[in-house]
Amino acid sequence: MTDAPHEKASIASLAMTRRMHRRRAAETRFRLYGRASVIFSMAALGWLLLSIAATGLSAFTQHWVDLDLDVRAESATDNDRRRLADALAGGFGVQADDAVRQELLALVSASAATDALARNAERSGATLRLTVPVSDQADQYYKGRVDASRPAAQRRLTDRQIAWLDRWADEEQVERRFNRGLFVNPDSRDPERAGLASAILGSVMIVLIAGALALPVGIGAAIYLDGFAPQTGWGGRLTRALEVNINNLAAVPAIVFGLLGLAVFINVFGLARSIPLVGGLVLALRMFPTIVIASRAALRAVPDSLTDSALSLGASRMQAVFNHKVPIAAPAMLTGSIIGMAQALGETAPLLMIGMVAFVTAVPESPLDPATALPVQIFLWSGSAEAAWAERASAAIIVLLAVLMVINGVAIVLRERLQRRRSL
Amino acid sequence: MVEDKPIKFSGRCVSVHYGASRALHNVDIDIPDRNVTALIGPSGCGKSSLLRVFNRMNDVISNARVTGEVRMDGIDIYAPDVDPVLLRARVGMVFQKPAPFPRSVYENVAYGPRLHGLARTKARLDMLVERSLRRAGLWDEVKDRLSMPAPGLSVGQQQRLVLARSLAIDPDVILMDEPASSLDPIATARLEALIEELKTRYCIIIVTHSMAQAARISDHTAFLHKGELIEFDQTERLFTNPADIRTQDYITGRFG
Repeated sequence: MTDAPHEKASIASLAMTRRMHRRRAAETRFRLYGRASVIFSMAALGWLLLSIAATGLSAFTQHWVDLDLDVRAESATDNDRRRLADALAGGFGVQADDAVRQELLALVSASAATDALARNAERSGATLRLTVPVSDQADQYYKGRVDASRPAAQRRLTDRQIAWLDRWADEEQVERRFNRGLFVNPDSRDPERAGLASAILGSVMIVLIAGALALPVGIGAAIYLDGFAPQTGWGGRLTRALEVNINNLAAVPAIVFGLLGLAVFINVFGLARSIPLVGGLVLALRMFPTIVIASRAALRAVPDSLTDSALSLGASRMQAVFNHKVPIAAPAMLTGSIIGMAQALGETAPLLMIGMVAFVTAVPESPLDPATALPVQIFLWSGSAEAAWAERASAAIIVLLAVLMVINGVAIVLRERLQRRRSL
Repeated sequence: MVEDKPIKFSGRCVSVHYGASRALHNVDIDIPDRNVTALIGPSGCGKSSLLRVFNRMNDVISNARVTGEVRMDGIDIYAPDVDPVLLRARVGMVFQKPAPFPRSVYENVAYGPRLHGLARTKARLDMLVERSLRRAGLWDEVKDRLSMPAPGLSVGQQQRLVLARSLAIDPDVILMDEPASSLDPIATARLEALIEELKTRYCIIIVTHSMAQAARISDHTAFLHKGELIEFDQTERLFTNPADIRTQDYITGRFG
């Protein structure tokens, strides 16, 4: 500091001015810290989303190939794979031996193609036109994820295979399409045929069951604890003990709830493993404390003067609470509850404990059929090394995030609507 | 005490405890009907506790305990067969801070009559709402804005609105707990004029921290100190010729 403030006429003493400078500096520093942390978290979030999108977005499209297969009756055997391989070899004009057959079959989704062949078995002899997905390796190649300049030993496609794929592409037999299978197919051993149908349906059923159980019980419990439970004497002690334990319940690791579900619902009640009903029951237990705590906080924020006024007008306690406390707390209760449901949607660990990690190749038709859930499906797919699985795992994450965003959006819209009605 | 009016409330040996602490101790009091009775005293003297005895709002406080006998029109209001909800329909209350429900002006006033089924038709309800708002001196100010949200009114209007709200259920008694403490002088003057009008119909008991206000509006005044009723007399006599030295000290501003 210079002497300048001394010389100039000032409204405050030099010491005051100096202190003011320090206070200003502290404030500026705090602002900077705040901005830095906001930028850091936005950057982390952006990086996360970008990396997921970079790997995952390509899974929403898939390459299909049109094949004109000359499936001759005389070369036909009972083995569809062999017939397919021979037909492919014929298409490329190469002599078919075992090694060539193996490499050819690795170009298309062999299981899809042989299924189609089997369906058209009676037409064998004629030229058969098939449109099938290419294999996961070929798909990755067409998406530019296979570096053909690397030595053949370091990639999973041989030089011969790459030449064949290029020929398909040159003859415009390959087409990139929207990957409908990702949403309508259940899980599969072949990445190009694997989809999220079982996982999406499983998650929807789990969240609906959990919500239907936990929402009324949780909100009811919160209203009871807030307005009706005894507050004094032994009853009051019991109430407080209950509240402490509900808070503790919220802090219990999720996997413990899975253990509980395994022990109670599966071992004692004899429900089947891997079914959405058990998943819903377990996640209802998981959501319950979250909903109670959020609803309690919302109810406590309503001023007592409103219920007191209602009581002094001769309302019963029930009328006072339900006419005045609950409507005002409703938007916040709803928000808390939907956050609880969103948490349940992303929950993985307890579902692993009750066997929802099973490999399910059928779309569940009821909550009693085996199913997986979205986060579990992500867990399963991310465990496989192939690029196609990594791509699909990221795509599944995008789907999960999209579902969560929709749920949160619905929560916000509902809350706004309730609040507008309240302010009349 | 020379009385020409009938007694509305008579309390004998009334004590109020909140948990272990005693807020009111062995109070005997007879409150006349169609009269304004003021309860004065320093903070924490038990005047609000005494007020809440008359409509059993102490029951709402979880650890409160009321002992003794309180009769309204000769009926023991703490008898086991008396439902506090029905008692409160006859004993209205206005709180220190106005707490209008976050609904329209009309809905606020109509809430009580709806609770108790006082109006069978919409026209009757409209009539009841208008009459209550008129009695509370608010009708002219809000008659064109009955559907506007009540929290949008000024504090003075809100206080008269909650008064109208309690008048709508046609009580015998109106309890007021420092009703003017959040009002400006003009709104206070309006409220006091209103009390003056209302006392021809209702028994009014008012807690106030302002001795001037008690002197202006009340017919009887009770002075409480440390949970005990020190003196209860006609207002004029209590303020000009107090019997107890503590009353004299308080009204002359020596403490409190």
